[in-house]
Amino acid sequence: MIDLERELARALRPQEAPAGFAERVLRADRSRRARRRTWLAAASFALVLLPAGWAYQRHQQQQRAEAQLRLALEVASERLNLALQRLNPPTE
Amino acid sequence: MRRTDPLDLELSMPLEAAPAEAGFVPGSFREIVAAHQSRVFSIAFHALRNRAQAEDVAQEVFLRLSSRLDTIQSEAHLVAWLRRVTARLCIDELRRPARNAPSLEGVAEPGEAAEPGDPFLSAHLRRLLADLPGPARLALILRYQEDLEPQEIAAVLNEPVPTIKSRLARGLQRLRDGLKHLGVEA
Repeated sequence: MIDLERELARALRPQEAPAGFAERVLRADRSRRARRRTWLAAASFALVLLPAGWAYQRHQQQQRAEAQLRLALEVASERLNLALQRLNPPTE
Repeated sequence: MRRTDPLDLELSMPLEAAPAEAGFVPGSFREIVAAHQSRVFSIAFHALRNRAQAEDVAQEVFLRLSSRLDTIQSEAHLVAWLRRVTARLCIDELRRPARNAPSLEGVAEPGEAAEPGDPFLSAHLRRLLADLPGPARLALILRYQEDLEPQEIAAVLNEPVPTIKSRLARGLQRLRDGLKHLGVEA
């Protein structure tokens, strides 16, 4: 009759990790960190670029609106001048 | 949308059996891998009975640890964390149907130092263990490889203590029954 628990502990004695295992883990870790850094850089770049692009677009819209307003004011001013000239024609 | 990995959530929970040490500073990642590679690989190898799968699991365990080193509070916490993550990754691996077939690899280790005791009996026990359901197999591995008490196994596997005790008892009984077929009384 055997002592099952003792035999089981023997059968399950710790195994050595395969040769070079630690080096492979460290290499995989470095590779994973490098990939993560690339993604982080891309994400950071996008985070900076997106608000900058949005601000630039807003600025362009404002510039267009200002130009349209200036044009509208110029047209209105021209028409007012014409109307004034008709009401008060220049006397010779 | 990124889904939160339930394993990550579970592993961030405190381990009751692993008290924090004030001012604990974990060693370098290289030192930790060197010190614990055998433990992690052995749990995975005994659970999966396949060296390549066991190495994949062990590597994944250490890669996960690498990004969480700053959360480790003590040496006991580190060991408990490694056991828990290894066990959970092994369970996940065993659930994959295509890779679940027990391999004969490792039942008799080529080029391995002579085993103490009866090598034939040890090989047969490992073969019987490989036939047990994954959770029972892991409970027995943690009990007899890692020398954990049922309460500690329950904490590692996040299961109630009675469940673990019952798995251990049923697992041992199945091993006894298997040995009986060989004419070995246990």
